[in-house]
Amino acid sequence: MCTRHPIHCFIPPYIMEHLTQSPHADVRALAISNLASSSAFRAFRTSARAMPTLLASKSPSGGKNRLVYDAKGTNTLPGTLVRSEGGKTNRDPSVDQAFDGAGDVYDFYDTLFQRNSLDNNGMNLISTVHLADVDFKGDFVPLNNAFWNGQQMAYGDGDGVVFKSFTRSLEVIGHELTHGVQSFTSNLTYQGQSGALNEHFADVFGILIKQWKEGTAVADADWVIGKELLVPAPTRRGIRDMEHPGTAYKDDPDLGDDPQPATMKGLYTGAKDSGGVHINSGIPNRAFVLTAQALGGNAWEVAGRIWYETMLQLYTGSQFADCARISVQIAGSADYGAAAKKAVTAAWKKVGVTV
Amino acid sequence: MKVCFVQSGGFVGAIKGCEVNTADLDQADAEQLRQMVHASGLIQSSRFVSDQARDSKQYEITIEDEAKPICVVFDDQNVPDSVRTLLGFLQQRAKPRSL
Repeated sequence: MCTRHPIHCFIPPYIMEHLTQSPHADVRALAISNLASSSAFRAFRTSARAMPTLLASKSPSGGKNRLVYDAKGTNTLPGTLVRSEGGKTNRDPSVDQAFDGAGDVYDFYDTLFQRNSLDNNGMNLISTVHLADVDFKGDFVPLNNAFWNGQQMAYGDGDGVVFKSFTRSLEVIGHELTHGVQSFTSNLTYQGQSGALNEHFADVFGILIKQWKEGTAVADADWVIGKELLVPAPTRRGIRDMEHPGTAYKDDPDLGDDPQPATMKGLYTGAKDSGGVHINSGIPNRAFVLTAQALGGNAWEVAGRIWYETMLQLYTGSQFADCARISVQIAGSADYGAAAKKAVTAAWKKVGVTV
Repeated sequence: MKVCFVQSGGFVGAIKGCEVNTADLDQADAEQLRQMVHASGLIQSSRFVSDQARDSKQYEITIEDEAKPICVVFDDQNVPDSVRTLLGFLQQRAKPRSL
């Protein structure tokens, strides 16, 4: 690692920046580490994109450290700190759900993949609940959303008409935190197919965290994301259906029709939703479910592991074909064997991606 | 003046939109729309979308008037204060739409 003044370093920062986008994981890691030691580079705002480590605050203990803030119905982040690691439970269900859910996500990645928080370096897990939106009159209204802003999760309470609180769903919490994991690994660009992969991995690990926590085997899994978020109605079963993309809601007065394609024939190529990141994720989502069903058992044990290793090997510009190729390659390794490779290959073929 | 609005993204990823034409509104509503557009300060096509945020809602506003149409795209992390009134007006009218 270069610790000298940037001017005295043989490799200039602009080359090192480019290397942070390398398709090779170890090259990316070394470049990021090198840049982190450069005080001059820290001054550059755009480095945050190449170096998510700048946005990470480290846990004092080096391990799990959760902080939950309350925006109290305003749109200000992070809000007031209301619960921290080792502190008592709060009487506010949203606070405790965000806290417990973040803990489940931490434990999942640590137990299964020996990953110490999102950055594998004990990053604090920061959540804000009761975040609001601002309407056209300037009044605060409940937010019908949850998001990751590059440093923390934020959850709205839902309007009570279509949506309930977004902290109710463990797969939503897992989804948002997995966006954080990706910031420190593949860092898939949030546009087009790479963005759809970013969404896909967030859905995969979101739902696997829930299945792992509840001990749900593949045979009993329903693969529907976000059931708990919705006020029940006959026109909607969930936000997304990973097994049957495009069927989660139909003729819904508030959501319309589920736009997700199930195969490459239906690939959306327009500009909405950053080139369809929440739309086209249906295609790899189905490939994952087919893989998990073919392998049986618990989805997080083999299919989930293959997908985690795949996520680590992808890079910012990876497309569906890259994800398919790498997942097949990993599945065919000595750790998994011929049956796994066959299952993964067949799954991708079924959705229209041939390896 | 015609204003086209599309909302996409967010965790749910549902698409909503509307189209409002002053020619279809009564005089008072048409004038209100013109004032909101004027107050928004949107005078050229631009894009304000966070590199870091994930699952933010995204808004696309296209304004067609006598001048060349402009299209502005921004997400929840980058809503200019001057646009909030126009955005809220359009969100109230937005309905689910297909791709």
